[in-house]
Amino acid sequence: MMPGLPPSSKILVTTLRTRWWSACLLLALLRCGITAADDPYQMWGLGRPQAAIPLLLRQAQQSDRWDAWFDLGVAAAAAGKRGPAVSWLLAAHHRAPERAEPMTALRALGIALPPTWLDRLGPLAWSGCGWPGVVVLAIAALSLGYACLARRRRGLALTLGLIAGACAAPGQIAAWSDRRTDLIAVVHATRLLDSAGNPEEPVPAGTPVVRDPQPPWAGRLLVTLLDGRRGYLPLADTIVGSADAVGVP
Amino acid sequence: MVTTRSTVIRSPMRLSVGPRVLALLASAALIGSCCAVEAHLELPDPLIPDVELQASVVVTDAQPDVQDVTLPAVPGVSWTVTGRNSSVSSINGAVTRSYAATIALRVSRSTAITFPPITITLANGRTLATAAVTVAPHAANPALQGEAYAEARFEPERIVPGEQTMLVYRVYLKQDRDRAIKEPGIVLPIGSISLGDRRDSTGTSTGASGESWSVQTFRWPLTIARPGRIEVGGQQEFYRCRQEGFPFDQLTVESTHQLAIKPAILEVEALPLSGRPTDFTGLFGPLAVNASLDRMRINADEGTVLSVQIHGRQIGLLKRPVFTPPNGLQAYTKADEPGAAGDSGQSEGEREFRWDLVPSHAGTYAIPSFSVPYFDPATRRYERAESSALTLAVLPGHGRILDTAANPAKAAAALAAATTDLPPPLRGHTGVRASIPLTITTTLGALMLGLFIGGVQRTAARGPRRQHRGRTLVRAVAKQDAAAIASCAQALLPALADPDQRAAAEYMVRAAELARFGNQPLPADLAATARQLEDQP
Repeated sequence: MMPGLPPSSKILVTTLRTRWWSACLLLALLRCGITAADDPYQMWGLGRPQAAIPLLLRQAQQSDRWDAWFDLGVAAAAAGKRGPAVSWLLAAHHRAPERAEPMTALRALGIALPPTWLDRLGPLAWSGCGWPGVVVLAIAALSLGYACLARRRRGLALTLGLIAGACAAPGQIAAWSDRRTDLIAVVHATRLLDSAGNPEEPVPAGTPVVRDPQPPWAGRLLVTLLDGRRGYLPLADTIVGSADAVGVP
Repeated sequence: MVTTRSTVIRSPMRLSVGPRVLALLASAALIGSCCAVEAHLELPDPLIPDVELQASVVVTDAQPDVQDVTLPAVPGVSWTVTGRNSSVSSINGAVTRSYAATIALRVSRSTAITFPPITITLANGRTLATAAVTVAPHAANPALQGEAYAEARFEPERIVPGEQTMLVYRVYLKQDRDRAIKEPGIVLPIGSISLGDRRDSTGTSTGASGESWSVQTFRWPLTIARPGRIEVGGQQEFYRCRQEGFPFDQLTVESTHQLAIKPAILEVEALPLSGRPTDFTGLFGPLAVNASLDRMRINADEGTVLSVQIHGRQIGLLKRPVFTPPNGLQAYTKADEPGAAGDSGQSEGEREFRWDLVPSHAGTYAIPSFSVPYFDPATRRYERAESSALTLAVLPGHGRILDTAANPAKAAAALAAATTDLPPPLRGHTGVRASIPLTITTTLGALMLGLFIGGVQRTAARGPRRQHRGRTLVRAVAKQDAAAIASCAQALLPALADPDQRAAAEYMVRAAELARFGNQPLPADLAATARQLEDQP
């Protein structure tokens, strides 16, 4: 009992002390139940990747993490949705061009993307990408900052900073350049349209295309296919709708 | 002339002094927020020819003072400004500051007179203008006998169902003492359809014997949906009042009286049978029909929504229009959108009917126009309101047909083969990614750290600051310290290139040594000599 409290307060404190652990247990159980009900991987593990897609989509949209988009793309591929799968894997690749997993999954789906600048540079880009890039850039910045104000060993610090900056530059520039390439996927099988809207060649679902920077016009998107063909695609055929996420492939 | 004392009395009839003082303070605080300046001309109703009447120009929410009111010349009218007054009123927190210019008016014509806009010049140089007003003069009302008179009338008195008429109700109160009413004694007849808000106006009139009357006029625009005879009448309650001067010139009721209202009669004739369309549902004009498509250009296997908006009176009587879609287009009825004012008790409203349109193949589809019949009271004929025809373009999109072109069997087989090679999901176990914001933050942090370390190193590497020799010498002279003078002057000597300065330093060395070892006093001019060397660092 707490001294100094009125009788009604003492009763309340006693009740709280005897029941707090049961309330915590109830909350923990509720949380476990909610988590289990919302775990998309559990349904996927039971052989229902289709049922996991809406939850994975929500998770990816909320977090916008590259690995969430990657899991969503893999789930869609496992569910037989080629168009959305390629679209989501490209979204993962766009968010983390230095990671190899999205490209591996795309290659498994038979999608051969043109080599990126990171691919071309190979080990030269290693020191500028990911955590090594962060460390090298930090060393470069530390050295240059020291060289700006210090009285002794300025030359050494300046040299070290410039060398570190030069090491990080190729990877950083390559990642920036790769991120600028707006790769999207054709979600539904469609046809390439000319500027007058007349249909030309068919384009199967899951085909990656490079989107032109200009905004959509009359519901059509100017794109360049990887084989160099250029034309318009219906905007609706490049967007993964809610029906695609939950509907029959 | 009507004044504020003879207008409608607001309930409660008397307010205590406290709330009135609070209202005054609130009104004073809110005066600054009033900015919508508006001016209008108030004319006596009716306008009696060859009798001197009073009119007024009222400016509401006049923040700056009114400087001048210019009355234009009007043929058949002689008028001049005879007085000015301004007032501030607060009703339910809404503060109104008004200015009124009293006009003496005499009309010498019996035909309709158009009063052109009157220009009002404000103190800040801005000008306002009243709206032009057209009024037909009437003879004095011979019914103005006793102390009050009330009459109602319809203008026009014969209509067909749906045609607009105006119920005009006038209450005349003799101005030989304070009289007032609270509310008009009539209401809209049952079955009428209001076509707008009630408009109130006040004015003055003159009786047959020349005495002044106040007139309060209430106007209701309305129409009737069914034929028949409508009579509006009743009794009007009015009050004899006494004005109490303090603090707000309020009116106090002395006695309550009833007054019989001269009734108004409206004849509603039946709609003509000739020319009535078979699909006529009782709507009256004006009516507007507008059809639109949610998307004019869609892909095959997509849908669009056709919306038909119909705007008019008594829109609740309207039935869903019949829509026959063209071949290749399937229409599915959607639930009606509730209109802005759909039932028959409202003046005007809008209803929207929608259909989901789903094309079966690509192509161009012509959607026919929609036609709705109505009776136009203006022309006394049946008319039709039609929407414009629409065209829906359906582009080849993501249809199942195109899957054939893209060989879905081959794609499905490739997908099935690829499923086994798919990497496993990451399940969020990738750790923290070196994202761009993180990289930038780390780099900037490292730069700041480098600057800090460099700054610390620079500060630590700097030796103790050398004393200023010239000032030290001056201080030593001030203290008459011969040893310090000799030391400082000796230290300065190697750095002195100017012969005068060197001579001064040597002189100081000699003087200091004589003082130290020869027991001679320091010369008096030593301070002036030291100032020659004060600038030496």
